[in-house]
Amino acid sequence: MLMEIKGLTKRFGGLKAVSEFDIDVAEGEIVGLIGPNGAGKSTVFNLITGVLPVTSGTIMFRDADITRSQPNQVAKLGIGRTFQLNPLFPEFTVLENVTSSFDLHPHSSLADIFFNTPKYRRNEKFIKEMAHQILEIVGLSKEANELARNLAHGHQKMLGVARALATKPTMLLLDEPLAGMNPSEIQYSLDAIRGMRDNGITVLIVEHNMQVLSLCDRVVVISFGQKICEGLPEEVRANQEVISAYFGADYVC
Amino acid sequence: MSEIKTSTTESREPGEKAGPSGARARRWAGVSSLGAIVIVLALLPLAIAGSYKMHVLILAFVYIVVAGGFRTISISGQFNIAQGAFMGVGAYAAAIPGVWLHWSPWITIPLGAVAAAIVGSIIAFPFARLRTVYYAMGTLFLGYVIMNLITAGGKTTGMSTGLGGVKPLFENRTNYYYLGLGLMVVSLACLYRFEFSRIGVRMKAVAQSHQVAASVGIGERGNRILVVAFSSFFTGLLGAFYCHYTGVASPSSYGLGATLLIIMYVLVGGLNSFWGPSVGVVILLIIPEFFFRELKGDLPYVTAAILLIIAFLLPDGIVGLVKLIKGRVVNRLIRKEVATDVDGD
Amino acid sequence: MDLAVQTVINVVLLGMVYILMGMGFAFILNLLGIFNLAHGAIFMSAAYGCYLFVVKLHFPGLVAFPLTVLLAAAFGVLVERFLFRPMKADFNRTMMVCIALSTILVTTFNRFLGTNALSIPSFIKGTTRFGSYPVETDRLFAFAIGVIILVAIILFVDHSRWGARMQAVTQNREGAALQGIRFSQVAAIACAVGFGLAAIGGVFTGALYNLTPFIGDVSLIKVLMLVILAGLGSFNGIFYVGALLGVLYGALPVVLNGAVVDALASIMVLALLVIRPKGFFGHE
Repeated sequence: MLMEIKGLTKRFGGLKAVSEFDIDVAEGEIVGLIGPNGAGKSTVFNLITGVLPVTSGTIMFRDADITRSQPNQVAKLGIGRTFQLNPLFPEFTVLENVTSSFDLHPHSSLADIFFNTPKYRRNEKFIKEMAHQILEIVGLSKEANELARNLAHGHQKMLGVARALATKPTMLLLDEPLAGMNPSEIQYSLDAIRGMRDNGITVLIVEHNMQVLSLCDRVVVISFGQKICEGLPEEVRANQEVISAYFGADYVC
Repeated sequence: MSEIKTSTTESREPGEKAGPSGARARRWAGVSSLGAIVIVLALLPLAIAGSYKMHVLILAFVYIVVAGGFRTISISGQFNIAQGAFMGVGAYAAAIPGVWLHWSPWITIPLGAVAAAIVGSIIAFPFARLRTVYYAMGTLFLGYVIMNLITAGGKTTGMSTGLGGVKPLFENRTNYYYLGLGLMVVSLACLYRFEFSRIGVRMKAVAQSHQVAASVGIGERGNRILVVAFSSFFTGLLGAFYCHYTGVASPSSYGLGATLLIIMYVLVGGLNSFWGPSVGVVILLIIPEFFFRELKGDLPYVTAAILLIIAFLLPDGIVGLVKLIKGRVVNRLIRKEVATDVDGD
Repeated sequence: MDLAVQTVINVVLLGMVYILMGMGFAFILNLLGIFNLAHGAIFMSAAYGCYLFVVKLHFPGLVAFPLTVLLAAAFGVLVERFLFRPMKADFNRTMMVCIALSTILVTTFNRFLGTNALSIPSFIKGTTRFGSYPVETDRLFAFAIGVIILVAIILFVDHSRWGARMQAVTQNREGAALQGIRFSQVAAIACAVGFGLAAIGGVFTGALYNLTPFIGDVSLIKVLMLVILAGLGSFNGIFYVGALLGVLYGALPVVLNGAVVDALASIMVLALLVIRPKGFFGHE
């Protein structure tokens, strides 16, 4: 098991945003976390990455307890994430967004950086090449020198993924990656995510859009902060009655 | 409420050569013009030795570094209104051992730098997670507290009248000039390297979005403290130098009024450019003191007027204005080139 | 015993002045998101302005006082409309404007009224007796006015439509706009109240304590201390912390040297800030 979460609970004052949530993710899986708006999906991500403090429960990653870890520590341990809102550095160019994200691998020490050592210069050259490659992969090479805030929304999302990949994560948390995308962009993203898994990255996706079911090895359904069902995509999809009872018949499928 | 806008790479104006050859050409142009300025400054004492103008330049060297330090801190999104107090820490940390323990200035001046860096780190710690507005409020208060504690120190610190009798470094003002020039060049070089390396990138990342930065391993707290400590070293260094130059450590030089003046230098020159503070010191300190000394009492009005013009029309300061003009001029040159190409086809 | 009574009166009055100042600053901070660095300059200008009305223009104090406050409030509306609003909530530009405003006010008043300590003559002379304790009537008057103003503000914020609008804007500006609340009106009122309260504080200080060119800076520091400790976005905290500061600065100088009190207060606030940099009664 790459990640084991037991009894995760988050209280905001009297409100239980997440309640006794369990989830396990095995290495190499693509796991989908689906549920309606306000179900607590993004909260779970924020709890895992340490953006929000956990009220109770444990989060184990590779047998290390990261329940109380800070966001940058979580990143150092190999968990990357994208953000649903404001996913970028708006004043950096597209290229700079990716090169600035290469802070962990390869890592230059403060002394290396300040005194412009050969190691630093080698790292920076490597980073620039890798960044260009990543931009090729996500199809943003042409916009490399555009300011990130001028990008179209779908491109911003893809840049967010590019940024997350720069940290060479073992596990990637994707926060609603398909939101706001048109059908061809969605197809492209789904293929890209499959490609990431083939490259050895374990993926946990939070999504609204049921099209993500085709991608996942396993699906966990959350509603009002609680896990209501878990299993193979077909099983969950077959559970349509339960789902439409919770989500309403208009739920996109 | 917007966060402080940070500059990234220098924006490329239309028509400028892109790519490695263009960048190298620009770098040579930049370095040689800087070199020329330093040479001119080094030769100036031949013309103005011992005069009031030399005194003004020495002050300018000090304030360029202190204002530069404020600006460097601001690239991480921190508007540090305690800057004058950090200068004061450097000054008093040099003055007190100098006056009471008779330590040599060659020891006390570096001591001042280190003291300012340490105090800076300690102060930065509790405020390293506050957003812009509250950070500004907190540091203004902090600056006051620092100076308050210093002036409450009884005879050792000379209280509100200041501590006099600081041993002068040199007899000759020209020597102060060269030391000040040297300190300024070294400090600016270090601040420049800090900003235009990956360290600066981390700072700007934290300023734009501390959450995204943390998700790639760039911690907010550590980096924000680092920039304050690093910048305060040079602020304290020049503060200690200033104290030895004037011979006295007086609290009014490091209080809120002084800090606001420093901030004005940065804002008028241009917060978004490394050379903003230097330009601001030239415009608000050197030029008035060289050419407009009759303005003495009215200078604050002129400064306030300039500040309002900048706020309304030129938020990027004078440097922003220069970039704007450069862009327009180059634009017009390109258009002419294109026009003649088409005609002469 | 006389000393005790005087001290209590001092504590109450100081606390009141602090709360008024803090409220004014907090209105502008919480509703407009602006750190009004010029707040101290307004405080000082109102004090000097009232002095001018009474001493140079020979207005009776009871006329000069409300006149000063109303002028300050009107000035606040103008400043919001022509200085703050064009800055489009950009922190750097707003700072520039505040620094410029503060510089102009401070330089002007220093130039025309010198740097000596002055004092606004009492509005109401004489003393009132409570049993065997004489209390200067003007202090009673100041206290009464202060209480009325603060009660009025509480009623306004908690029980009036405008107050409701302002609370809405504090919590969620965009949401409030969607509900049809015109932000420009709320902003104008916030600045009018903010500057007006600063003026009241300034006149009280000038009349009851002292009037020097430094009271602006001093009051700004106190206000910051207050607002920072009270906590982000908090109005209620200002009452509690203002009262605390009143006790601190009203009672302690009786037994300790003024400079020591400043140092002690500073250290205490610093320690509290290290424990809770976000203040004690705030919410984010």
